[in-house]
Amino acid sequence: LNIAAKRRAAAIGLGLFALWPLLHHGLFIYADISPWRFFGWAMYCQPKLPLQVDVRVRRGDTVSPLGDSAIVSPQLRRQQLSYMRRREIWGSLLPPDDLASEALAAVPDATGVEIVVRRLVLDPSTAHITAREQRYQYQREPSEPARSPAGNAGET
Amino acid sequence: VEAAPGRKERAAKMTWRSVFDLAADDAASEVDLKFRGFALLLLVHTSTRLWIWAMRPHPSEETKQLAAIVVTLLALAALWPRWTRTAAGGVALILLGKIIATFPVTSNHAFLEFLAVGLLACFDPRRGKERALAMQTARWGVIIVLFYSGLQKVLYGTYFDAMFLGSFIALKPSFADALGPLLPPAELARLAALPAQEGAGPFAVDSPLLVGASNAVYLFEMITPLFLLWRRTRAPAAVMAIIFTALLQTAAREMMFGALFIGFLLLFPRRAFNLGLLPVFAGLYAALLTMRYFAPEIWFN
Repeated sequence: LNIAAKRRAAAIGLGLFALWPLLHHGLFIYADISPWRFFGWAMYCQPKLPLQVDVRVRRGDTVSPLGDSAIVSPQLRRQQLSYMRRREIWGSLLPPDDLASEALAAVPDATGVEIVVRRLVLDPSTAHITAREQRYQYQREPSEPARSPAGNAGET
Repeated sequence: VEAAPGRKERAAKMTWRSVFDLAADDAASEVDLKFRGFALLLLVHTSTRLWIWAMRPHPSEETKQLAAIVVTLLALAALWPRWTRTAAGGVALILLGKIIATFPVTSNHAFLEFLAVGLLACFDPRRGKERALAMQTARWGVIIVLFYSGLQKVLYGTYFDAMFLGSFIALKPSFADALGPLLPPAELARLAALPAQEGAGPFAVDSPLLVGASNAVYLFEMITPLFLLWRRTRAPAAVMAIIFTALLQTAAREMMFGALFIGFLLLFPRRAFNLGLLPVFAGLYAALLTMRYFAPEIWFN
C-alpha cells in the first residue's frame, strides 16, 4: 500500500473507532450490554452489580422455583451459572433459549418454564440501586419438546 | 497514462491530510526517536501484561506461558530497529489470539494494546511519511479514547452528583481509601455502609469537594483533547493529562492501563521524552510483575 492508501485506511479505521462508542451506548440502552466490555470506553460509568437469573417451572397454572423441583441436575445448575455470567456481558442480546431447553428437558412434567433476569443498576434519576427485570416465557410443544420458546422478552 | 486527479479527489486528499496534520509533530527530527520510544514501550508493556496473564490460574496455563515467552523474545528482537516491525506483527497476532480466546470478557485495555501494536506492524518506521502517519494515527486514537471516556460519563449521568464515585466508595475499599479524604467522616461512613442490593442508596454524595472532583473528571476528559490538538497548548495539556491519568488510574488501581495511557500521552510533547523514560517504565513493570508473583493478593489491573 502506498502512503495515500494507508492514510485513507487509517482515516476509515479512526472513523470507526470514533463511531463505535456511540453505538455501544445505544446497545447499553436498548440491550443492556455491559458498559465495561466491548471497547466502548464506558468503564467506571456504572458499578458492576449482581445479576440474578431465576428459572421457574410451570405445571398447568402453577409456577414454582426450579429449586423446588425434584430433579435439578448439576449440569442445569452449571448452565444457569454460565448463562448468568454471559448475560451480565451480553445483556438481552443473549436470550436464555438454551437454558430453557435444558430446564424443560430436566423437568419432564413441566408444561413450560419462565426465566426471570434481574439486573441491578445504579439509577441516575434516583441515585439508588434499582432492578431491571426481563421475563422470558417458554412453552413445551408436543411436536418439538423443550426446544421452542413460546415468546420472548416481556420486560416489566 | 494515469489521469490527473480531479478537483473532488484532490479536495478529499487534502481533507484527510489536514485531519492528520492536526495531530502532526512540531519537530520532525524527534519523530524517529519518539516512534522508537513508543514501539519499545508498547512491547515491554505487552510482554509484562502477557506474563501477568500467564500467572493467573487457568486450565491452559502452558499456552499462556508460551505466549508470554514468545512475546518477550519478540520484544527483545525489536531492540534491533530492522526487526521492530516484524516483531510488532508477531506480537499483534498473539494479542489478537488472546482477544479471541478471552472474548467477550476482553478488557478495553487489551483492545487498545492490540490496535497500537497493530499500528506499529502496519507502518514502515524506516519511511519518514509512514512513521509520521503512524504517530498521527496513534495521537488521534488517544484523543478519541480520552474524549469518549468523558462523554460516556455524561451520557450515563452518574457523575453530576458523584453517585458513581459514591457507589464505588461503598463497594470498593480501595476507592474509599483513595477518596475518603475528600469526604466528611459521617458521609464516608454512610456510603461505606450502603449494601449492593435493590433499593440501596442514595449514592449521590454530600460533599462539594467530591462532587466538584467528579464533574472535573469528565470535563477534563472532554476538554483536554482540544488542547492536545492545539500545538501551543499541546505540551502543557499532555503534562496535565499525564498527572490526571496517574492520579485517576492509581486510585482505581488500574496500574497497567495507566502506564499504557501515559505512554500514549508521551507522544504529544515535542521532545521524545518517552525514549528517555523507558528505564522508568521498565522499572515500574518489573515492580508490578514482582508484586504479582510474590504478593498475588494485592489487586491491581
